[in-house]
Amino acid sequence: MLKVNDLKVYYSVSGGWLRAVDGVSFGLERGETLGLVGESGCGKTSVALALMRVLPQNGRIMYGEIMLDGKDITKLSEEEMRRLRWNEISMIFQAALNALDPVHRIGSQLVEVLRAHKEVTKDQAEETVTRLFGMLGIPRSRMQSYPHEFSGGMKQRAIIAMSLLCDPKVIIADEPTTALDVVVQDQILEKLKQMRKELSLSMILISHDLSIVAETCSKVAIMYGGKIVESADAGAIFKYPRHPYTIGLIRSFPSILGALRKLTSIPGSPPQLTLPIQGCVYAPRCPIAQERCRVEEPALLAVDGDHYSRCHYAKQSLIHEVNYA
Amino acid sequence: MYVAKRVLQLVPLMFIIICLNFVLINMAPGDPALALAGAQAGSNQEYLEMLRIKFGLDKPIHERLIIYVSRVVQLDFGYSYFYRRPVFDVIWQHIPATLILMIPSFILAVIVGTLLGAYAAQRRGSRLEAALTTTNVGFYSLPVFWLGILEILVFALILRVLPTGGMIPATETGTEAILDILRHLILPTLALFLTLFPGFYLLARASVIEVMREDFITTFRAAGLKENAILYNHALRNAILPEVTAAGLLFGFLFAGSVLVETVFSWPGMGRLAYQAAMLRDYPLLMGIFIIGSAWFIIANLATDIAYSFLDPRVLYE
Amino acid sequence: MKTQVPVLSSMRNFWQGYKRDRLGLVGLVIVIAYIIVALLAPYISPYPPEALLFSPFLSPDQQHFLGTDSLGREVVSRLIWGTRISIVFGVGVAGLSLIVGVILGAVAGYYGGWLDNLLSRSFEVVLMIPSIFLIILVVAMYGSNIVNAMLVVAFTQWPWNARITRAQVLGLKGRTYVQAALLSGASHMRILFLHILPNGIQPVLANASLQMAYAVLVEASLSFLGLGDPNQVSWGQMLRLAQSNPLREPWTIISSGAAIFLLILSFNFLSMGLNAALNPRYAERKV
Repeated sequence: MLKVNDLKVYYSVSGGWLRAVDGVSFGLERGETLGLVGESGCGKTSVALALMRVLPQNGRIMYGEIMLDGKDITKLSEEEMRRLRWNEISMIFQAALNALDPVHRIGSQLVEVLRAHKEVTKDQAEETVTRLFGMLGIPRSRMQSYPHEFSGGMKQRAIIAMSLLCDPKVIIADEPTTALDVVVQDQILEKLKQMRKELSLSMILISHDLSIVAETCSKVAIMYGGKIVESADAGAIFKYPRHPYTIGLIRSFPSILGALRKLTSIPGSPPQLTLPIQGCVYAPRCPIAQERCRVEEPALLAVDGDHYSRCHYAKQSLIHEVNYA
Repeated sequence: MYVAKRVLQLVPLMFIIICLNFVLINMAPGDPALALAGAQAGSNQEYLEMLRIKFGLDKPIHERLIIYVSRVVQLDFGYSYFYRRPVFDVIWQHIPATLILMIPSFILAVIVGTLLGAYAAQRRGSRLEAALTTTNVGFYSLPVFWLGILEILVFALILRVLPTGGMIPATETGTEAILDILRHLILPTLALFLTLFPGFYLLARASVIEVMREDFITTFRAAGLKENAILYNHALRNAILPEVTAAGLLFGFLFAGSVLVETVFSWPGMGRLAYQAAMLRDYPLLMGIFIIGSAWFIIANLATDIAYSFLDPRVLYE
Repeated sequence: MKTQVPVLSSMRNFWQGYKRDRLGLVGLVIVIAYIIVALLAPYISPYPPEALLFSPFLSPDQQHFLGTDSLGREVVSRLIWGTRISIVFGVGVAGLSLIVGVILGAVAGYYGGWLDNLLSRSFEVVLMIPSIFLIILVVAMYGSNIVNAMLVVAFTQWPWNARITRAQVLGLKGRTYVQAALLSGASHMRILFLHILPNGIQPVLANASLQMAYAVLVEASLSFLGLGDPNQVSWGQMLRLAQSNPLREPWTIISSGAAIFLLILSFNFLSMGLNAALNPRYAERKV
């Protein structure tokens, strides 16, 4: 249903281009949930903004296609895209940001969004919003509140409700639980899973938090340095990770089950995306990096059926020797 | 309630202003009676003696303060020796002229400045916008009294199309008077407008640019709202907040800002009165103007805060 | 423990950023030029500013480039000497206001509690006073010498610096390196002045340039109204005297006003440059 082919999103900064997204491809079928994982700065949000085509002024889709039901939406005019937004594809923003207008009441903002797309009266719109609020556990009376009067969790629910207004086919959730405390996080995730089941939604969940993705997604793609370095079904990625970065990520998260082990972190820092990079983008931090890795960029190749990895040694025994201790 | 709270704050503030005046009188070099009478009355011993009794200058300081404050509160600001009338009357008589001059210029400056600034923010980066902004910084730096004198030089003296100053001759009435006032208003209003509107332009431009960078703008764009709707319903509505604060602040300085323009154009308002009082060292008049100017400022501030609280729901949430 | 964030390297970055704004550079150059003129006035001025060497109202020519004023004093010399009071006033007022404002604002922000409450109230109250009337009143009552005027103007301006500083200190107070310094036993004063302030001072500096512009305007306005120091040559005073006979000395009017205008404009450009340096506008990266 949604297919992204070799997407490149660059930002114009003083001194050149910042290659935030450098050749990313993935697909999403009806009812699937794709988790997009990576550190902050790896390009995940840019992918989301590019899909909605709301990149900031200095951002540009340099290359690639975004096929939604066979149509390449990168080629659409602004007006055509505007009509498509929210109706076919919508977004859940982080509640921690200033995602809503502070001077208008929340109810009226959602009503405004709905009426921008559907020919309904104000009362009908309010009914719809109230119903959605109810589904997400927001009391009706809160329609009249202002954003600053909402708690973090409730604001996030309101933002989720907003994304559901026009019955979209795809929802992109950008860090929907970051900056919420764990208890609230759990509630929100439950709601998301519930919505997904009840409304048979297709979702792209963006997060730096592996545990969230593990809990909610059927497919996972790991991003690093603007590229996808590994993608597979959720189960496969966690049980048989085939990229040193993925392994590093998994090892840095604690697990309640399983043996007690030391948490490790990945040394080094993310790459400078304004400078040209030779070889594998992860090589500087990779514990099994070889000469070949610094010279030749690995391609994203199939390891096993639907399981892809961007590592020269993904299929070899070397991959099992990844150790960050 | 917020409004009540702010209105109550008026009282201590005015009290502080009056006390400040009191301090100034008593710290002045020489005889405080002189400070209360004005330099003109220096030789009139009888008058000075009368003041000494009236204001209890021989009594201890805390009693003097009480006497002074009670007098001021009853609007007894003393007596202007030069005008031979109570200070309050003199001031009151001069207020309308200042209002006629300042209010139209002010309203024009706020409206034109804000609209132009918002327009410029949208065209940001273009050559037109850069030229416009630089020009505005230029006008903003222009001393209003210099501009006024230049206007007089060019339009009144060289070209002879407009009067050099004053408001109206005392004899005119009716429509003739109104037209004459308008004729006399042109140059000073122009000077005021040109030096006031750049501030609003720069502020509006900066606020709109700032607001357009906010996250909720991206939210609404992603939600497929039309660009115009985003601009009017959301961007401007938020950007207007600092404008309201600035406009309120300027409004508070209405009387203070009139001093220079009125002096240059011999406009018979409170500003020129202050100037003349300073020249003549008519202290009671000056102090009265100070108190009234302060009171006006405080009230204008209050009104602005209240208006602002209606526009920004976050204010009451404390 | 030297946790002071390297001020020197941030100064270099600062200059890089500042250079980018061309108007800011123009402003800086012009301000420096004015300062040089002010310092060298006795040496570069063609004639003494108060000397009655010529007939009044002479037109510009070789001997006196901008003519003479109503008393026969040569205009260019008076212009040059007038620079001194403007610079002194501008720098002096801004400097005084900066020092008082920063100290009080820092103390308020750092110690908090009742001290902060008291100080913040005082900021509000002082800002409530309409400065122009107060200045006129004080100068009229206490004498129109430059010190009085500078003190009053600085008095009306310091709360702005205090507010900015207080906000900065409040923000920086919670930073890790401050906690670290506290734990290592540094005294509060030391932390405040060596660690917090150098990092928070930037917006105050940008504001300082604006305050200098304002001070120059006030000085010119006061002299124009006849409330300036009668012993000093000032552009405002020149305008005031020329106002009585504008057609006979247009060059005095144009040049003295232009001198004021250009200095104020340059300070404003300077503050624009400072803003450009402090808010480097890189691309918004929501990566």
